[in-house]
Amino acid sequence: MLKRVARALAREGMRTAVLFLLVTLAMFVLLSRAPGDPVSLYVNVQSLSPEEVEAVRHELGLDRSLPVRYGVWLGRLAQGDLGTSLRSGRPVAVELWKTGWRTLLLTGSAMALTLLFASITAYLAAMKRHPVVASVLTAIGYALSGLPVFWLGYLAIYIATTRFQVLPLMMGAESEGGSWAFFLVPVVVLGLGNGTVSEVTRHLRTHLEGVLREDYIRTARAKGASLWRHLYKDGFVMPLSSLLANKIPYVLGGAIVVEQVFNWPGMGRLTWQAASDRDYPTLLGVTLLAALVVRVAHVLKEAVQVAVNPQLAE
Amino acid sequence: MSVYVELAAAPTAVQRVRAWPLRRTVATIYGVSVAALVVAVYLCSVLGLLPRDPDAMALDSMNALPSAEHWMGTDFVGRDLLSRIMVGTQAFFLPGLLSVGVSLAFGALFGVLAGFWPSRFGTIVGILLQLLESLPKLVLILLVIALFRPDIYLILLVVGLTNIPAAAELLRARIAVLRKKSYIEAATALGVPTWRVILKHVLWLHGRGLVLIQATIGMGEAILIETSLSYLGFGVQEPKPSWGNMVALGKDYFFRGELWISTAPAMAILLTVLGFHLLGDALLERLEEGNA
Repeated sequence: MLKRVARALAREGMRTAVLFLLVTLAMFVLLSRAPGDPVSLYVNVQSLSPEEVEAVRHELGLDRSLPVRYGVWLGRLAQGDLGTSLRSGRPVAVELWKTGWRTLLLTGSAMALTLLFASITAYLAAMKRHPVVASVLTAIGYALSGLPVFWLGYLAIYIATTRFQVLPLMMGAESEGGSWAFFLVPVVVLGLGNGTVSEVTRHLRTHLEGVLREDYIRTARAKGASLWRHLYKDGFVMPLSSLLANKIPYVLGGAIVVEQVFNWPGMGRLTWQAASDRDYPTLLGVTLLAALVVRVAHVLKEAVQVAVNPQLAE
Repeated sequence: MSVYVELAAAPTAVQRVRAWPLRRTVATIYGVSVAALVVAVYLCSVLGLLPRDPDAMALDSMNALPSAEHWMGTDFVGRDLLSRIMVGTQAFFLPGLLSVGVSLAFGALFGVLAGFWPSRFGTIVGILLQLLESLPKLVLILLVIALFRPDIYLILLVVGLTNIPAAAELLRARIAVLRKKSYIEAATALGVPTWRVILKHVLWLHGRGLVLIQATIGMGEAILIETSLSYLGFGVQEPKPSWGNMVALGKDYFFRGELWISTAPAMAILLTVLGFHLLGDALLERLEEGNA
């Protein structure tokens, strides 16, 4: 099995490398198509003579052809040099490092909550044993998927502050104390409100219903064996891993909004700030990092699926 | 004799709908009504058929709850919320259609290419789609906003582009199955040109359900993205109303306990998106049932 997984990892890793190259190429083309003279980002063009502007242009490598510039840019990227934030003047990589882990924590926990909620709902609905509970949970899932996540955030803050007095309202750059409610409320809001709950539930339920109709499940039931033991691989591990990989981009996007609502000092807020200031080096770094996270999730999904189902190893 | 004929006849549309479970019927009716209502409200707002002037301020009736005069209350400068919510449909209606159109047109193109000629186009289309899927929508949109301009049409064009993989993958999977069916082979053997097979037998006769589902889901998503961006301050800008910026404007009052200003547009988002989701899911369920 280890060999199989290793081979799958290698194959997907290669694919990811190619894709990542294409992502950077797409980003570079997008950057070069943007209106405005890039020189004006670094110096005040008005205050310099045309020759001096030319000198800066040369220094930045902007007088060379596009493929060469792409090569240079890619080389810097490979060394972890994502450029300098136009707003703070600090390297983008440092900014991402400082905020990225918070967002990954938020996104990861929220994703786990989404999948947990969907699993419970889908299982109850597919087993048809507690139809009322299943219907109620399904309805809640639909309502949550339609509710804008920012309003849900407002509601959570309002309830937490007025009814329970647990939440320090605004989270400063350095969180004081690190109370659990502090972390939990944004996770719950993002986990339930990211707009994918109903879709994930529906997908999982259809899948589970299909698996439950299989002969081996009927056999397991007939001989009184543990249903869970026969169900979990095909019924849960496979669909959950692929749903996780497919829905990560949505949850990452939702994190931008939720971090804004809760003043959570993560990558989402950084993204918002950068978009407000049109700070493209930072945004480019965020985009590349986000794409990397999505790709890593895909590679992991592939590894899990191959580990569970040898037929997929080709 | 006539009995047999009747039994063999294909069920009419009404009969088919009657055979649906109640849940799906309710979901479909609700979804269709929401879609119709959105179109109607949009047309009304374009033609100026509004209960009040959406921009008229009234400082004597601020933050009012629903009343006979203002059916959905007023915001913090006394503007009529119902009228503003109605005008708010303009923020997503045409851009949403654009995004759906883009994702369907290119989704159909790539789906057909990869489905009909898997050996020739399968890999390249697959890579292209994975490339698009690797970029989180909201992040990509914010990058485009920063690089170009915060125009809602441009934004939803990007949304449409990022939705291409979903549409293409659904069609590709469907076509891969269809391609092996005997009637497609028969049509090809009879000399029907390939483009006709694709347009009529694949896209029209077997793909329209999928296309409709994608359109429904795409519209719901377009609304969520537009409102999220307007909430963040990058989409439609105040004083032009969008359901997203209306929620954001009510924030300070919300925390003080005046929940209504933010909640009214949030409920508009909920009921509309819910309608599109329910409709899409009901259609998808029916389609899956038909394939099984």
